[in-house]
Amino acid sequence: MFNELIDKLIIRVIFALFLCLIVVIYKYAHVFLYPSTKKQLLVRFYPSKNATDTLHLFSRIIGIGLILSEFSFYMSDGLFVALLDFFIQGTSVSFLFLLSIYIIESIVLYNFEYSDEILKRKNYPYAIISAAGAIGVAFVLKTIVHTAGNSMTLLLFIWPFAIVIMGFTCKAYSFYSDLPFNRLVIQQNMALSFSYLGYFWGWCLIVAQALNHSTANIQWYSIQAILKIILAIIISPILRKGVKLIFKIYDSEEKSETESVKKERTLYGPQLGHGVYEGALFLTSFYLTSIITGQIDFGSFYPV
Amino acid sequence: MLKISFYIFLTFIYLGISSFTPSGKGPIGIVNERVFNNYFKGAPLSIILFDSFQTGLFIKTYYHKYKVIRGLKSTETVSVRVSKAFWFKNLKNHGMSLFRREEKQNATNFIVMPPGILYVGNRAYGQFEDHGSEIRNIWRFHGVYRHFTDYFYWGDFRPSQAFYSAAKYSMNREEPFYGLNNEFGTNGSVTKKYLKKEDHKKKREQFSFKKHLLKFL
Repeated sequence: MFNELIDKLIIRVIFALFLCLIVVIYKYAHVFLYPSTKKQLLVRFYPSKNATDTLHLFSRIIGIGLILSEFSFYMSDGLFVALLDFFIQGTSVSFLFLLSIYIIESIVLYNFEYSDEILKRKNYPYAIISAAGAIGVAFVLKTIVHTAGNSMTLLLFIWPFAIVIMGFTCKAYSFYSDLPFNRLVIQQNMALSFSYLGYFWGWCLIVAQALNHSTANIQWYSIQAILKIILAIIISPILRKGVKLIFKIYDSEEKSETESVKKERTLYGPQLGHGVYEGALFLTSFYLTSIITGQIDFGSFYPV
Repeated sequence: MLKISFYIFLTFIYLGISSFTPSGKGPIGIVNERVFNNYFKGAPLSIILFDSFQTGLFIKTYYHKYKVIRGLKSTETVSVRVSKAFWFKNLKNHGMSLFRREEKQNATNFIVMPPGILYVGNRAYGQFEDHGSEIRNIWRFHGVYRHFTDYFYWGDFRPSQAFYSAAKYSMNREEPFYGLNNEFGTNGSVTKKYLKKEDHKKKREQFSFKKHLLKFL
């Protein structure tokens, strides 16, 4: 019995080292796909030197950690087979993760460059938006991996579908918020970063839940996912308005009633409080929407 | 205004797409007895109204449960959506045959009749016999069709010649017939005794709030 315990402990250490190996593979894949990040990854990194760079890097590390946490090791067929399975799945999902970040950042931050915004200007909103993208994408990809199970075919079917939906949600930010995205990133306005963070993470939650159902009937899988997203679009304004009314939230910047507020906004951009409020409201309303879209079980209420 | 229009449009898109999914399609819809001919094929055929129930909280949907009997073939139970008018019209017709199709020339009949009337009087399925000196001219199915009495929820009931003649008379007059002494129909003595269906109301009444709340402790 004691021998078994020691043995299991050694196997766990091996798996931990193997996980590090996968992260190493991810690191070199990242450099391959993003040559501009060579300095960030291949030389010694000083986190205190550039906080935006730290945020940018560690959001991806958190993302890869989030995705790899979905996998399991099955020892029934032996250690080598368990490691092989994990290697195949881990590396393929790491590549998909990098590809997803590249696509999402191309859609959201197409006007900006990493080297300019992070290395030269130390643009915090850019870093936060990039971090939000990385972690949000990782969360969705984790759900895709869970839904696809061990099937690479399903994974390669669901992944592009999910990326298309997320692309549309990124672009739809201007319908939900009146903050001018590109201008405020250039102005390094923090309000935008928190507003977008809440918005994007909220939508990632909705998309992940929309994708998380049975793939038994693949023909109807995508239609079911789209239906859940449409339902979320219909239901979320009710909850957003409800939260605002219940807590009697009134943001003068929303209505811009007075001339002085208008002038201040034009000069300095929206206040940080407005961004935090918007982001928190998005996140809360989408969290509550996810209950309505994914957690109502009609059971035998409709017996036929 | 534009936002409201957008959300209304989106709601219609959602309802439209949902109705095409397998879970959204639901059972067939029946407006009245005239459409039975289109949905149920084969002869001889007898459709018996087994149960009726409604679902939904704010917008009700009405359902019938039919027992479809096709001669010697196995019976099937189908649930169909029906119109509100048809549902209310047939509340008194539980256990009755709403539609029959004969083998001869596929002749159809929509008059509400006791179950099994399609086969009664047809010598291919049975005959009227005397059972002792007091019970005369009672219908008896041939051996191979003896299980029909279970299909029709007759129990101990056996139609007499008089019963059959009265049924034919009502059929010619296109009037529903519930038996000489109202043996059939929702309140019929034979139907009430032998037709065992799921009591949805009773199921809900068995729910106990106290027991349900105790689960949280």
